[in-house]
Parts: sequence; C-alpha cells; structure tokens
Amino acid sequence: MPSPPTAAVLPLEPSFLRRLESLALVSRKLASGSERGERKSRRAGSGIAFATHRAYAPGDDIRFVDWKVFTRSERLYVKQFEEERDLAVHLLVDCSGSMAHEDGAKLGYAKQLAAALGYIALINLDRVSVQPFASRPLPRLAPLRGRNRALVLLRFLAALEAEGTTDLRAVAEALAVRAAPGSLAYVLTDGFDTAGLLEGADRLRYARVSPVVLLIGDRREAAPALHGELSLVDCESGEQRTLRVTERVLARYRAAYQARRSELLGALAQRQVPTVELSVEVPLERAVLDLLRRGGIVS
Amino acid sequence: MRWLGLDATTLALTLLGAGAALLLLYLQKRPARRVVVPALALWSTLGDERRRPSAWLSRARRLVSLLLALGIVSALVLALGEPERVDPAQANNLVLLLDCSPSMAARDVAPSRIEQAKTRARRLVRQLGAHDQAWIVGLGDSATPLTSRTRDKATLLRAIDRLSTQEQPADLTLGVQLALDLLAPFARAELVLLSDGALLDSAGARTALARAPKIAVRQERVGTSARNVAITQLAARPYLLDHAHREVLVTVQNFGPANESLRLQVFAADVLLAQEHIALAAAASATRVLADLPASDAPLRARLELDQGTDVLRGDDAALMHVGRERTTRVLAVSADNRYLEAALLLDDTLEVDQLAPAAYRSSAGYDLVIFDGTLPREPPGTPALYLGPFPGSGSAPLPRAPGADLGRPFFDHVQREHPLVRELSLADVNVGHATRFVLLPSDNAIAATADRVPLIVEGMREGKPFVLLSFDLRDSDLPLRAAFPLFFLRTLARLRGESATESRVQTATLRAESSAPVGDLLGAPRTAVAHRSHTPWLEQLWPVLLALALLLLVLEWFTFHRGYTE
Repeated sequence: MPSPPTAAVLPLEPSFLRRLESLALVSRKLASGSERGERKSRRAGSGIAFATHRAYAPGDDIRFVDWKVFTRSERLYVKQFEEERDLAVHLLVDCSGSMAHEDGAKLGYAKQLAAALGYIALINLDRVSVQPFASRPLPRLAPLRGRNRALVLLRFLAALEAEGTTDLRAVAEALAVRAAPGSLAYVLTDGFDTAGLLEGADRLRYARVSPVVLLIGDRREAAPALHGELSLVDCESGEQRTLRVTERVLARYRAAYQARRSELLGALAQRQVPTVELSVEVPLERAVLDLLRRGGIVS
Repeated sequence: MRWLGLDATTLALTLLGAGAALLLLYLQKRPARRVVVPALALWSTLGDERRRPSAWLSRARRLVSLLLALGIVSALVLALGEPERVDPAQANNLVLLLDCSPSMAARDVAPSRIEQAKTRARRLVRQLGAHDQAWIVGLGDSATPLTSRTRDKATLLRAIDRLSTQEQPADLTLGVQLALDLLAPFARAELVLLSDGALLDSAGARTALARAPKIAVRQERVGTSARNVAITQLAARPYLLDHAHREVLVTVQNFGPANESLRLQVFAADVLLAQEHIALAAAASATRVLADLPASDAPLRARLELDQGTDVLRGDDAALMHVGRERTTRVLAVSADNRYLEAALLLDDTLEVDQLAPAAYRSSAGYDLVIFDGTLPREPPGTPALYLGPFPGSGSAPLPRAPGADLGRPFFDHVQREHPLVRELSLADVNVGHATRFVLLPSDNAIAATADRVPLIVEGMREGKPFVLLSFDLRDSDLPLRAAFPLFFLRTLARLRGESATESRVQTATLRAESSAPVGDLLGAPRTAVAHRSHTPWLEQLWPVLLALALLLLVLEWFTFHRGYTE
C-alpha cells in the first residue's frame, strides 16, 4: 500500500531551533488562557505564587484556609494564588499578491518568521494558531499546543501561497470575535495596505488582543532599478499604468516609499502597537535573535 | 580639407547607412516594457502622468533625441575619414622610389626586404591626401616609372604590387635623376627612397640632389642585419696548351661590419672540384685562382658557406657559369708548303685543318676559317680569314697595296701592347726580311707597324667577316722561332672565330645588404618631408575634435534623456 505523499515542511536550521528554545514571546498583558500554562494570569487558583486573601465562603477548600491569620484575627480567610495560564498566540500571515513580488521573497521570509515565533510559543506551552489572509481570511490552522506540534505548524506554513489583494480589516474582525482577550496577534505583512493595517490593529486592540506588527520589506521595492518607458502593473489588482521612469521619478518614488513607511510606523506607534521593521536582506536568525529581541517582541 | 582615412564615397555610404538605420529605429514604436510592481498606488502618487507633455512637445523631444543621435553617428563616421585641414594649393607631389636591387631579396625581415618596402609604400600611398599626387618608380639597373603622376590610389597600389627584385645592381643616380626631373616643376615635392641602404654611396646621386635643394628627400629604410658575404666574380679560362684542364677565378667579398670565416667550394655539376677556407675582414674582398681544375662540359658552380651563422642574402652566395664544350673549328689552310704554319696549327686540337694548294682553292664554303699563306683568293672569301705574306700581284687582297717597292728590314716599332692579340708578347726584336706596303682603310686597325707607320699586323672587317693580315712572310722572319709565336697564332685563330682566347668571365651582381650611412649624409643635412602624415601638426587633424564632439553629444543625450527632456 503506497504511503501518502509527505507534505513539505518549512525548513529551519536545527541549530536555529535550539537557540529559539531559550526565547519566549513577550506579552504585555497577563495571560487569560483556558489551559494551564507557564504564564501568570489574573485568575487566582492553584498556582504556586501567593496572590491575596479573601473571606472564607462556604464551599471553599479548607486546605487553602490561612490558619495563621485565623489565630491572629479569629476570622477565616482563604489564600489565593496566581494561576499560571497559557497564552494564545495568533500568527496573521499576509498572503496577498504583493508578498509574492520579487520571487516571493517576502512571503518566504514571513513564513519563516512565523515558524520561528510559533516554535517559540509552542516551546513555552502557548497556544499557537495561524491565520493567513489576503482579501479575506484564508483557511486557518487551529490552535496547537506543545512542542510536538511544531511539525504541523511548519507543514501548514510551507503550504501557504500568495494571491489576491490585501485586507487586514476582515481578518481582524474575524479574529476579534474569536480570540480571547489578552492574546497576542502577530501581523506579518509588507504594509502596503496601510489603511487596512491601521484599522485592523485598532479592531484587535478594541477586542483586547495585543497586535504586534512585523513589517517585512525588500530593498528592491524601496529602490527599484527601473528606467524608461514602462507599463507598470499592480501585482494584486492587475491595474496598469504607463509611466516614463527617469532618475527624477525614481527619486520621488523612493521619497514617497519612505514617507509612507514613516507615516505607517508613526501611526502604529501612536496606537502603541509594537512594530518591528524587517527586510528580506536581513538573515532570519539575526532578525529573531537580535531585532525582535531589541524590539521587545521576544525575550 | 583632406581625408586620410576612408575615402569620401565610403564615408558617404557609411553615413547614409548608419543614419537610415538610426531613423528606422526611431520610427519604430516600441511598446512600453511591462513591469509588475507591488503597489501601483505608490507610483500613481508621483504625479508624472498628470504632466504628460502635449503631442507637439513630445514630437519635439523625440526629434531632439533623434538629432542628437544623428549628430553622434555623423561625428563618428566623419572621424573614420580622418579629415585634415589642408589647402589644395599646398598639395604634395611624391615620388616613391623603390629599390629593386638583388639585395632587396634578403629575408632578414619577414617576408623579405622588397615585400616590406612594398608594404611601406602602400601605407604611404594610403596616407596621401585628396589632392596629393604620386609616381611609383622601380629602381634597378635602370629607373622605370610604373605610373604617371596620379592621385588614383588604386593605380599606385597596383604598380607597387608589380614590383619585384631584379638581377642587376640598382643605379641610384639614374633613379634620383629621374625623380628630380619629375618633381622639378612642383613647389611641394618629396622623394621617398625605399631601400635597404645599399645605394647610399652613390656620388652621382649626391651631386644630383645637391642641385635640387628644394626637394625634400626621405628614406624609408628596410632590413636589419648587415651580415652578408657574396661571390662577386667567377671566371674560367682554358689553358691554351692543355684543354683537359682550366683555371678558375673567384672573387668573394664581405659586405658586413664584422670579420667572417667562410668556405668556398667549386663544383662541376655536383662534383666538388676545389674547396678553400677564407677569412675575410669587414668590407674586404679576396680573389682566389684555382689552378688545374678538370675541364668538363658541366656548368661550373661556386658556393659560399659561412662557418658560423647564416647569411641574410643567400642569393649572392652562389654563382653559376656555363662553360660548354670546346667547339671544333674547321680551318682551311691554303698553303703551298709552310712547316711553321703546319706546326702552329697542330697546337690546338680543336682545329680540324684541311690543307689545299693555292691552285686548288675555289671557295672557303664549309669552313669556319681560312688561311691564305703566300697567296690571295680571286675574290674575297665569305669566312674569317688570316692572310700571310708574301702576296702575289694578282688576287683579292683585303687591303689596297701602297705604291712603291716592298719595305726591307722592317721593325715592330709601334705595337698596341694592350691589344688582345699581342698583349704581354714581345715583338720588338723580331726580324723581318721584307714586308709588303698596304694602305689601311679607315676601319682597319694596325696592331703593329714600323716607325713609318707601315702596317705589319692589321685587323679589320670585310663584308662582315673579320680578317687579320701579316704583311710579311713567316719564313722570311724569325717570328716562328720566338716564344710569342704560338700564343699569337692561337689568339689570332680564336679571335677570328669569335672567341676570347684569354678568358671567359662571368661577373655576378655586386650585392650589399646594408649601408651604415644615413640618408641625410647624402645631402649634408636632413631635409624636411612634406607629404607624410606624421609631420602633420596635431591641431590640423580633425578626427580628435570629431571624436570629442561625439562624446559631448553622447553626454548631452544621456543627460537630457535621464532628465526627461527628450524621449
């Protein structure tokens, strides 16, 4: 009986994976997961770290009664502990047509970055789900937990392909309904849909989901080597425009590109959305171990 | 303006073709290149399309671009023509005098000196300006103009192609004189001598050039090495009394600047007859006489070989001489009985002698030579003849008799000592009893005569045939008893049959590979060349200007295109 074909796995260096095991995703909010985990949560429960006292109520487990307090005050108080819960991590991967530009370098980079972040989350017993999106949410990867699910994550990411236009609003809307408050949403995108990105981030924030934006750029897009009479075609919409590209036009393009990037970064900063700007020219290992760490995304 | 590069027709065709191709390219409407961008919105915000030029402005921009490109192409094509500012009145007249002497066959330069000279001549022809005119003159033992004065380069080049080396030494005097005669009417004239320098010691050429100081003279020198030895003379002569052997004379000369050691060999066919080693100082010559070499009919060949190294001119290292078989001469001796004559005729075994009594003589037909001894024919013989006294009163004598009786006891007082018949012979004390008086005709030559100019030995021509006359009887003199008699007699017979009895000499061409004298020495001071491009001031050449113009236009086109001023 022939074995079913093995799905492709996103390649990551074993040495890189080993270094990832020492990292953890940074969450600025307390965890609110439904499963026990390794993160502090607001829920007082059966953890180890003492949290507070509260008056005893019938039905409380008498094992948590603080007898020392009772001897001093002759009142019954029960001790409450911080319960360690898991963290829900959502990886929103932009799979629009613009991510496939220049041989799909940005999409590949985003997939590897998502794999690294997801692996870190799995190592730390967080729940990881992947939500690719384009003009609408694409089929997602249901939450995974535990190191042994890393292969599933890598296979899912490897199968992602880019197509269509970008609309982060739709996917943010869907996620806001589904995600638990306090969860993390990593948005891996090239940021050309500026308005959608800002509105989507706002929607997530309103749903108490912490968005983290990882802007993936390409130097060939920032400073294209174009010249002459060109018919420019938008890779997502297919719209065409004829333009004679000269040095002067190129200079204006570079300035517009940088202005839009700065405007986007400023708007995200204003919303207190952690943002790290990455480039496909930067090696992935350096991006994760250095840039994301400096940006407070991982620790 | 003159064009040193491509001619006007080629330039025009090139310019036309390049311009047409350029125009065709500009007329083509190339579709814009399709480029996929990640965010067209970014490009749209640049606002370039909103400032599209109007149609006429767009056409004007394209026209400017086309004109710039045409300007660049025109400048480059014109630069190929290498234009040069020149006044037509200042056109040059050039005589290219090419040395075709045997030394130009030397192969010390590849492929040979003559080919290198022709290559340089072709280059000079191609460098001629539009108004310049030239002659091609080949210089051998005579100077031969191969073209008339022409500016047609094809004609000049064809004439150069026809040139080849000759067997005879070149005469520079003739060549220079011809060139000066050709150039004399022109104000701007130049003589260019393409030679290996072997001609420069010509005093006649120096004198001729000194008389024409306004004509510029220049030498394009070919050849590098001066190592050359040559056989300059090869001669052979038979021994008069021993026809089985002969004597060979060879002269060798070293034309190089260094001492040479060489081996001289003489062959008959492929048989080595003699061999000798010779050491020759620089510019020295040596003559060797090789005695008692076996005589044969085979051609005589002399050959030189350097002990070390090679000779740059191998052509003069060998000489060939055809000696041929000794020819048999049929002699008719019309004599009564003359032992002296009979004995003398026995000396030469190439003579086939028939003897007739005077009364039996009718004609000399069938003989190469006839001897009348003491008799005269009734009419002049149709063959060369030797007349010996005494002479009877009747018969046809070659000379008219002088009035008066015979001369008694004449002496050989006047003898032409350098005459081939009597050279190195002693006749002064010959005793003669009587001699008949003859009157010489104007064409006759008295080889020996008395003090009163009475001829004793006479030679001349009658009806196209030579004769020699002795005005006395051999038996009435002691000449047959002298040592000089056999030599004189055999020389006389050989001369009558048209041979040189003394020697047969072949002189080879005198060759020289190189002279150390610079051409300027010919005139005492160098003269200025007028027709060579290398003498043209840089500023008179326009091709660098055209090239700079093309580059400037290219930069301008690049700038305007990148700034969007042109399309």
